[in-house]
Amino acid sequence: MTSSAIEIHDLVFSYGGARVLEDINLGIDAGEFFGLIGPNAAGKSTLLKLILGLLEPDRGSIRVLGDRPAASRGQLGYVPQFPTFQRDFPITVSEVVISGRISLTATFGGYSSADRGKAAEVMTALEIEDIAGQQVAALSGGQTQRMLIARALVCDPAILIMDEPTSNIDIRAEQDIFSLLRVYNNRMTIIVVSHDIGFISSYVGRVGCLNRTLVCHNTAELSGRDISELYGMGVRMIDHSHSGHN
Amino acid sequence: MPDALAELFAYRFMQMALAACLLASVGCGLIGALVVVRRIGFVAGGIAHTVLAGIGVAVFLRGSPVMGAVIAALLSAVLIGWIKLRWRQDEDVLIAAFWSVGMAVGILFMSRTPGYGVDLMSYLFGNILLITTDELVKMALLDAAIVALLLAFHKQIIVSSFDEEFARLRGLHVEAIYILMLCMVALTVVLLIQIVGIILVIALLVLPAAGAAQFATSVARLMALSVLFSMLVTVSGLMLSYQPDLPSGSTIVVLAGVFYVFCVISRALWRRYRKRALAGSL
Repeated sequence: MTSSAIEIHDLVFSYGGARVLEDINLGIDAGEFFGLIGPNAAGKSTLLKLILGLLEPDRGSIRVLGDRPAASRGQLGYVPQFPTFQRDFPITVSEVVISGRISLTATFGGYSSADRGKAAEVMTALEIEDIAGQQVAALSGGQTQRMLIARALVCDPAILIMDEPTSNIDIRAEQDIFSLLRVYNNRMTIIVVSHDIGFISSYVGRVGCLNRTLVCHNTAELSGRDISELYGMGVRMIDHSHSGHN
Repeated sequence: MPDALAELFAYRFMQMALAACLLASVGCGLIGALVVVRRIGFVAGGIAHTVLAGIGVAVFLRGSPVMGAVIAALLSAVLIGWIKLRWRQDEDVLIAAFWSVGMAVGILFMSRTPGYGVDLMSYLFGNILLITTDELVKMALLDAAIVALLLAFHKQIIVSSFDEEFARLRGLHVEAIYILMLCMVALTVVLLIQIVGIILVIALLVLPAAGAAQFATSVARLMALSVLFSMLVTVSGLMLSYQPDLPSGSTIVVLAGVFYVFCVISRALWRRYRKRALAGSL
């Protein structure tokens, strides 16, 4: 039986007077690898913030793991598009990664050896164990991204949400990360935001195309076709279905 | 030199002053590190100047000035944090208001204290040579409180200082942690007022830690190094001021400034040297 990870019904959201999201309906099953694509300023990050409970919808409902978004937040792992930390902060990679355990470990004092073991395991999986002692300020874009993914994974989230996880890294690192995410997908639901439809459609099971309104496509339905046609078809289809709303 | 040192610290008041410097350096280094990474030096300044209101009221009511200082410091820390978070007031304006109104209230109360030789100058600029055993005990207690709070909550404080949005998403009460941190700053301010006085507190809170930040790779190391630097600066300032009979608080602060510049320059030189060494090896 598949249970529901995320359910969104008739969601409307606006910033000030500008309507950013309109009539969004979306159901994501537990265990899905879901891609969310769309042009700049289409509302992708806004939709993620609503799912994370950082914003409240004007109308409609969002259930995350059957509960209010803010109540389920502890079970979500989130990798932001732009790092939100101070780069010159004196902190090492392993300290950042283990901080993902903060809500699971004891309130008082330091981290437990179980936390340290978990952090070491995730750092090995993401191949950042040799930079564990390095300062955050000295990291490259790719290393920073891996560190942030490790920090999100270290709390064993039920849902991993990533906003443009590969925007700062080269194509090979991108492939590595997606192959790794496929492994983690056995354990958790994954939602990835990207502007690169061609690339993510070879990894994700379903794509939601967002441009104020949302249209979903099954990537499996398209899998038999020629890859270039898939890209072309995908893009054309999406353009077409949105033009109907405009 | 050892003889001169022995002579210097043969006096009881110098031993007491030395103890005060070392005790103040513990809180100063630990919390100074947080003030520097969070960039809240001027919030600390605001809290420090509001303390004069507490001292003024305490003196007027014939109570303990240190108690008055602690209450005023904690109250202003909570109010500054709360007003900023609750009403989204500009921190800048808040600090300016607390800073000047706090001082004005303190001076008004002191001017109305009958028959009491209030030494306003010693509160403003510190007077380490007049420190009493009772005050040393109170300083040790303040240190103990600061260390206990840090041991208990260092994870939360560091995570929410490093990445506030992430901390909030992980369910931390970021606002409560911020106010807790301001309260710790408040206790430290009271600790330091004994040494350098209200006006010079920010310098001692910020400069040794900012110097240490040139070299530290983690918050724990930054704290350890800035405790060490605080001790170095306060004790040598105390010794330097003794012979020529200079005001000790001001000597310490000038030394802290010089020491900070020294740290910045030596890191720049070290980087250049490393670059050259690296280029030379290729």
